[in-house]
Amino acid sequence: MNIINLYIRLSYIQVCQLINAIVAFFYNFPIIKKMHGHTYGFYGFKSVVNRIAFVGAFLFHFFKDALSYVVVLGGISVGIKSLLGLLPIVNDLSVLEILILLNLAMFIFVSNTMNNIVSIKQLKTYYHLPLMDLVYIKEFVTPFNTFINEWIILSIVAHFTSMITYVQAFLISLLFLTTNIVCSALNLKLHHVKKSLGGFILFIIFLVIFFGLVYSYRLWGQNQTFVLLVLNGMSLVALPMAIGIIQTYPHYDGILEDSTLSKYEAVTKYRYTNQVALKDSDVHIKKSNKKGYALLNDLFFKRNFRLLVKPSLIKTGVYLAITAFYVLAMRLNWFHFAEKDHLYAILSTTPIVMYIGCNDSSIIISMYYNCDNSLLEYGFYKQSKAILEMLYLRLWSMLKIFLMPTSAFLFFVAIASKLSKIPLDDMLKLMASSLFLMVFFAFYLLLIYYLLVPFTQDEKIKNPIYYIVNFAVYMIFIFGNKYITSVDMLFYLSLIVMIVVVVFGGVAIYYLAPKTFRRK
Amino acid sequence: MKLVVSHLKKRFGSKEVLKDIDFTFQQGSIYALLGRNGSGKTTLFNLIASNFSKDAGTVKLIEEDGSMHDIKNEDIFLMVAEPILPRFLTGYEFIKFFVEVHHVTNVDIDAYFNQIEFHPQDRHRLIQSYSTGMKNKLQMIMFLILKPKIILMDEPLTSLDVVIQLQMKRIIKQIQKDHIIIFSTHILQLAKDLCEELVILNDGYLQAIDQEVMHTQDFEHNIIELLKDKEDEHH
Repeated sequence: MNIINLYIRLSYIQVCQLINAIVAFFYNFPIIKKMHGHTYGFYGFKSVVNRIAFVGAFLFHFFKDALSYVVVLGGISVGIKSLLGLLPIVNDLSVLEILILLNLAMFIFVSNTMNNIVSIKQLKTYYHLPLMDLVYIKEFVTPFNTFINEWIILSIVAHFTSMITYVQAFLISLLFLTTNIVCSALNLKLHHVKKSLGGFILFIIFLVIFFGLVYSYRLWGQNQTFVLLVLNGMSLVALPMAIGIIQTYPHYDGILEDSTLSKYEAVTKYRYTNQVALKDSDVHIKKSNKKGYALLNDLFFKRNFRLLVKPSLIKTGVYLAITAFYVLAMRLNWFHFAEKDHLYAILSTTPIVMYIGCNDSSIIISMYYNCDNSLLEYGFYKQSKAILEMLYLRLWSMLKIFLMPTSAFLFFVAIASKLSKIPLDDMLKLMASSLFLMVFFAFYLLLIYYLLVPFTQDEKIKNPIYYIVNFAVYMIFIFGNKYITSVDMLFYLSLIVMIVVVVFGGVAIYYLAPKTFRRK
Repeated sequence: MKLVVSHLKKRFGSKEVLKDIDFTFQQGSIYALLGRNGSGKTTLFNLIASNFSKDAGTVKLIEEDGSMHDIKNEDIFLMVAEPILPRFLTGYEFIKFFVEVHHVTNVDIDAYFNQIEFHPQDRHRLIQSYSTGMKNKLQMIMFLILKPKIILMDEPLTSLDVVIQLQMKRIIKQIQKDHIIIFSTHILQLAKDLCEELVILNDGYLQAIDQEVMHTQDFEHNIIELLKDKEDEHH
């Protein structure tokens, strides 16, 4: 098997698919359709929304992944700057520069940021090919995806900044492609030698690449293109060896098959029921003394503990670790910000932190597939009174879960206020705003769940409005922070948003949910 | 007590599933609802149980005192062939929950489990590990406790082994005098064994079959012909 030829052929297929998909999209532009005979008419609203929902979902996943990436890597960049700032090789770089380099280095390890499931489904729709074939092709095309994505992103960086030129953008992307293949080969080799060491050694390689990039970056000031050409040359020298390893590796087909199967399962049935399946250990001797709906709710949250509470526990741990790091950094004077900058930083990150901490859709997935999907069979469960009783029981249980990351964040705010001398009333308002946002997210999740019921029995998210609402909320909480200029503003906005959602949402659920809350 | 279905119609897109259902079901009889696959048996049940909206027609309940009213939630129980029950609960917990939300007092849950011969150990296992037969038994406990006026059974015995089938038949026979029971199936022998009345749903219409036909030797042949003829006419 000539892997280079295969890559070229598959990239050709991918480019053709992309072009065809664009053509198909515009050809089927969802406004006017041909009616019976030779007349034309407009599509209904639902039809239009359904057709563009795919594009919305695609963009949503793309932006969400990319931005989450930047947010997470941003945090790591600050950490690297603080922890490794003493090293001469890092000291000269700004946090932004570390962020960009880190982002570039990470792309070598992360296959691509786009949602594979969405794109595989799109390919299936347009080309009517067997799903397994598509997933298999997708697995092969992944390094090229990375290459193309990187090239586009770096070209944008080149367009808007003077950090790199277009030629360098191409050379860096090419370097990523070849390094990706070399890293895959090394991974296989390590996997073959000792499975348990693979992850650790890859982390070391990642660090080497990162510092290599940092070093190259510092050299760019003298002759950037030359350095890139040298790196590309080195990588290209290693490429035949890497391909040799891949070609001769005895279990490569098995690994590819495993990966293909997992993706296949992800796009076919039982995607969610597998995700929220209970284990025997989940229900071990857990009892409840409650009655009726309280019993149902209590046992649901106890026995889905692993699925519902553990993500929040992890987030709580992360927030506490950040707090500990912040304390350490303050004690060692790693930050050189003015005091008012600390307040502004906390102010602007509060909505994002609360979004990450409390907007957990896995709770409503569990609610549907582990509980309501069955009980909606029975009329008594769809009555207004029953819905409202369950709504408030669930709200209370969710608030208890969300209180964990929220408390960790409140602890951070308290510590940060103390160390950077934030006024007491500002600190209290920040804390209150966080609590308002926590209530908002818990109620928001339940509101969209009861009114839109975004899941179907065949386990495909069907409701396009769910995508649109989620995307809107995401954009507001990620990009809206720059419009929040004072603590008072955050306080009043979060208070108003919480009251509006709880009051109007409660009324809407009471009157509309008996009709909307049903199996689809 | 009577269940009166008048001029019921239902259409899904361009397909008219139920054209004009006009029938009265009486208390004390078990009705077998026969029909081919896709004839609309489940749709009819869902319309009676108000799970679907009706395009036209009414479904009313006439009480023994002659008063007539719409069917309330507590009047009816729809038993489905392959029930989905909350898998994080044990069978016992689910029945306890069911009893409590329906405010039924003085219920000995274990007695009901004993009545349907549900093994004591299985009662406290997770529903996740239950077979279809065990889930169906739980459904039976539900309607035994609730004592609804109307019991609709959508092919409840199809996927069960013969032992459980026999148990369920026995229980249905025991409770029939107090309820209106409609039992959909496409197994003719089962309909003949269990039911006193036979109705056929075909081509969107409901038609009662003369009781004498049920006791003739070529019963099955006649029913098949009846269903076939209608189908042929349709085409």
